[in-house]
This record gives sequence, C-alpha cells and structure tokens, in this order.
Amino acid sequence: MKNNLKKKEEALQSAESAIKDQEDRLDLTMKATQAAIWELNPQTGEVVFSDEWFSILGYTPGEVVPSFEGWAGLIHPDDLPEATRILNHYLNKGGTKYYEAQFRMRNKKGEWRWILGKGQAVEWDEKGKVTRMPGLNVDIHRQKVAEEALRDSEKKFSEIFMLSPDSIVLFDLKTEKIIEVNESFLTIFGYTRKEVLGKTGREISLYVSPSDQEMLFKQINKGEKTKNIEIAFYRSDGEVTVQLISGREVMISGELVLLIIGKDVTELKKIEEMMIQTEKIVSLGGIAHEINNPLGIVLQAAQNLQLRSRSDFPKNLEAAEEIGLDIELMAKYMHSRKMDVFIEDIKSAAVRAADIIKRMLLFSRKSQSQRTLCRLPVIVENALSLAKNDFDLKKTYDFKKISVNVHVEKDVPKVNCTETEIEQVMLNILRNAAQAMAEMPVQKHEPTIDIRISTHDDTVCIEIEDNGPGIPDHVKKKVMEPFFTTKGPGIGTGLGLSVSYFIITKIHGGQFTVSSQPGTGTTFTIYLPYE
Amino acid sequence: MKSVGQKIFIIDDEKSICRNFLDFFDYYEQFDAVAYLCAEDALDSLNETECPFLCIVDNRLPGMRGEEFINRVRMICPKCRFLICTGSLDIQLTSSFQEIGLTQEDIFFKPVDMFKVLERIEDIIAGKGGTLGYPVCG
Repeated sequence: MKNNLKKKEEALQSAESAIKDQEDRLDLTMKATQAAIWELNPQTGEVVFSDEWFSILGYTPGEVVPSFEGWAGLIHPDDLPEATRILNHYLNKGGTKYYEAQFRMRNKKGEWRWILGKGQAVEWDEKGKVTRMPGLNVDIHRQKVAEEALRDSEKKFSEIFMLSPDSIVLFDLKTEKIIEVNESFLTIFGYTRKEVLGKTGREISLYVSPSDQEMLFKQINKGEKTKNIEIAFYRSDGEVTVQLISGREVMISGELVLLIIGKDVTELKKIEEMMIQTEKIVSLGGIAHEINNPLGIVLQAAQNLQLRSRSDFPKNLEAAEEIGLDIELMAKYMHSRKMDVFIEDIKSAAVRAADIIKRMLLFSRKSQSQRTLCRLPVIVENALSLAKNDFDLKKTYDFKKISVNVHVEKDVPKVNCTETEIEQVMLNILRNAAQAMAEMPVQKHEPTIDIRISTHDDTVCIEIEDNGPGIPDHVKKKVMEPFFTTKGPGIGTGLGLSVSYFIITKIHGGQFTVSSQPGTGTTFTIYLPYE
Repeated sequence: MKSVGQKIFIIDDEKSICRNFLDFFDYYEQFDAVAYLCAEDALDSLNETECPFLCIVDNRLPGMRGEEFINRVRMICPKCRFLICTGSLDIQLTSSFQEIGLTQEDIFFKPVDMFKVLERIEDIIAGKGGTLGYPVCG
C-alpha cells in the first residue's frame, strides 16, 4: 500500500514537472515571438492581456483596463466599427474557424500603429456561446504602410496610365494579348475597350508590317533599349497612324507585363513629307539654275544669228563683199526659206524659257520670308503667266484653252506678304481648276476661270471661280488635308492645297475657303489682311 | 563723252557666253569689248590698260567672286559702271550690290537678253542710268 502511494506521488510530481516545463516553454515561445497574447471572455467582457501585449504598444503592464472596453478605447475610431463587426460576426456564427481583423491602435506615444488581431474560440457554454477566446496581436504597421504606399503609387500609375495623351497598352508577356489600354489608345485607334481587351495585335490587324511586332517584342524581351521606334499602325477604320514606340517589361501588381507607349507622330510625318517635297522643289531650283547657262547660249547665239544675217550692217556688208556674196540676195533666200522665221522662233522660245525659269527660280527658292508690300493683281498675273506655260506631260490639260477673266476693284490696297508664296498658292489653285476641267468626261464648251480681287473690311479678297465639275461635299471636307488627292497615283502629290492653306492661314494670317456646286463649278476664296 | 570705242569688259566663266557677247558687241562700232574667263585675268589686264567704261560681270566666277571684283575695280577705276549677270536669285546678292549703288536695272538674270543689256548701256551713256557713289576706301 505504501508502494502504491509512493508511485502515485512520483507520477504526480512527474506530471507537474512536465506541466511546468510546458509552461516555461510556452513562456519562452511567447517571449521569443513577441506575440502579444490576449484572452477574451465574450460573455463577461473580461480580457487578460499578456505583458507583451502592453509592451508592443509601449504601455506598462496593467496600464490598460483589462476589458473589451479597455481594448476598444485604444482603437482608431475609423477602424473600431469594422473590427467590432468582424468580432461579433465571428461570435454569432458560433465561433467557428478563427477571427482576424486589422485595426489601428494608439500607442503610448499617441501614434497610430496598425495591428493584426487573430483569435480562436476554445470554450463554449451549454448554449453554444463562446466563453473563452484566446488570441494574439501582431504589429503590422510597417507592412501596412508599405502596402498603402504601393496602393497609392498604383493609383497614381493608374491615373497617369489612363489620362496620358500618349497611347499606352499593357500586353501579357506570354500570350501577347492586350491586358489593358488607356483612353488615348481608344481615341487614336478608334476602338472600344471591349473590342481590344484579350486580343493580340495580330488579331486586330494593328501593325502595318506584322514583322514590326516580332521585332518590337523581341527587342524588349532582350532588354535592349526600346525607345522612340517609328512604327506604322492601322486604326480601326484602316487609316494609317505613325507612332514613336517605347516599351519595356514592368512589374504591375506583382506581375511582369509588357508596357508599350506610343507617341502619335502622324501629323509630324506628314509635315516632314511636305518639307521633303518642298526640298525637292527647291532642288529643282538648282537644276533650273544649271539650265540657265546653256539656255543663255541658245538665246545669245540666236540673237547673234539675227544680227549677222542683217543686210544693213556695215560689218556684214564688208564680209559679204570680200567673198563676192550679194548679201541682199542672201537675205532674200533666207526669207523665202523662212530661216529668219526659224531664228526668230529660236530666239523667242529661248526668251520664253528664260522667263519660265526665272519664275520657277523665284518661287522655288527657300522662302526666306521676304515680306514686302505686294500688289496682288501683279502676283495673280505672274501666276497666270506661269500657268499658261504649264501643261503636264500627258497633255491632259492645256491652260491656254481656258478663258480667264480678271476683275480688279478700284484702289485695292497693297498687302504685306511673301510674294513667292502667294504666287505659289495662286498657281496651285489655277492648276487644280485646269486639271479638273480637263478631266471632265464631257468638256465644257467654254471653260472659264474668273478671278476677282476686291477689298472686304480690313482684308483683300481674291476669288477664283471656275465653271468646272465642282467638288462633291464628302471630298470638299478633305480637300485641304495633306496628301489628300483625287487624282490617280503618280499625278500630283496631294500637297498643293494643304500647303496653300498653310501659307494663307498660318503664315499670312488670312482665310482660305472653298465653296462648290457639283456640276456648276468651284470657288476658292482667299482673304488676306492688309495693314 | 566719247561714244566711239568705249571699252567694255565681259567676265564670265562660260566661254560660249563670252564669245556671244563679243560677237554681239562686234556690230556696235561705238563699243570695244574684251572678255575674260575669270576675275583675276580681268584685274591683271587692268594694270596694263586703261579703265573700261563698263564691266559686265557674272556673279558666279571661279576664284574671286563678282562682288569682290567689282569692289577692287572701283578702287582703281572709280567711274567704271557695272552690270551683273546672275543665275541665282540670292537675296544677299541684291542687298550687297545695293550698297555699291547698283539698282535692279543693272542686274540681269540668266539667260541674258543682250539687246536689253545694250539698252541699259545706252541709258547709262545718255545719263539716264543713275550714278554710282564713290567707293568708301577701307
């Protein structure tokens, strides 16, 4: 019997020791993890806080009332309702699984710290209500702040993304499908978001040259600098837009995506083309210059020919006598064989060519914007004279067949302008009129161009009206656009009217309009301000 | 003013143009024309001969340009008149010649009509061609 008692004592001691060990271990663990332990009795509202619980907030143990209210009193007023709601929800559901909430607590210094509270019910009463719920608090302030900063920066990025005037597209790296596009993309390319999300560039025929997409993605993938690469794209309506593309792989919301930014340079390209065309015209001036010397020789030799065939020149008479030539007879022969006419033709053709070259040089040289007070009627006459010498190689129109009437109002003031540029505009309009009239399937009996110059308020008004085929409405809208042309390929550049529009409105501050009655004719009206 | 054998210098790098001018002025006994293919040759000959009454100068010459030639000649021959033949419409050309006293009527754009040149020369002789200011030495 004594043995049994001793055995029981030993077993008890051993068990107590084991419990103490466990408690020590728990204590150590608690201290090691710095977990702030609490235990709540939801029925009484009593709470037990561990020492760590106090210290993570900088309080001394016992400084906070050990109750639900004590805890609630430290919670940020904005967070308390939600935290309480989550707790009640947990308790009402019978305390299944675990409770978790994030809230700000006020520490000893008065600062708000983000805390994560986690707990789990371990005891219930007969009615199934939770009577014991231990849990712990973890200081998550640093992570929370970082999360918010990330959220803010993502929000900022999102705003920049959406509002940027450049087109921005996010592509999935693997599938090459469009993940997101910004507003500018939709506007510039003419799509709705629904039409493009989830599609690849190929599926919506984005690239004018499909190989461009391969090149672009490959370059970005290799990590090579991909900045301002000029690529042409199709809009939804088939029109081409040229973009400067920059792209790279970026991390967004934890995922690696392809970010592509496109800067629309379509207009810029058009202006570039315009300038190149103008350059070509300017170099034409260089060629014209080279032609002048041989042309000079033609003219001068013809003039000398005339001089030397004259029978009244002393030196001619002398030379003729010396060889026994009857110079009068020679003159007669030359006249009967029309050699005098031929020489005159050569001379006048050379003079005419000289005149054309002079005018060409005049308006093909780089406009150093020499502004002078110009007499518009003179400019119009110059342009007409050039137009008359103008006929295209296929001889589809001959300006001389058109009857031109010029009416100039009395006392039209001089206008401050660059003469060559206004001449260029006039010539362009005249050419267009002539071509349009020549291309009519049924020719007008009397193709006419009326030019009226008058004063109108503080501007000088020039109207150029033809009785040609007119311009239909849908064409009229686009007629001043660069590169718009109704002529076949290779005929004209489609730049004429747009350059003219630019010269009148932007360079001279005037107005340039077109009105037309299909079947009746077209009128171009120019207003130029005068001082 | 002498109207017989008035000396005219023609300076142009294009031989045929020189020849044509010479042949042209050949008819007009009142003129005695001489041609040079470059400004330097013309200046050299000035050292040995008397001043011409007029020079017809191509602005684009190999070596010394027409403008400089004119300025040099004006130092030696202050009364000499000048006509410019030019293939280009350089604005700078016009303004710098205006400083010398030349006007639009003294400038002929290539290809040059020789009868018009003759008209201008006759105007100058008749006193209708304006005067050039004396060159500023410097």
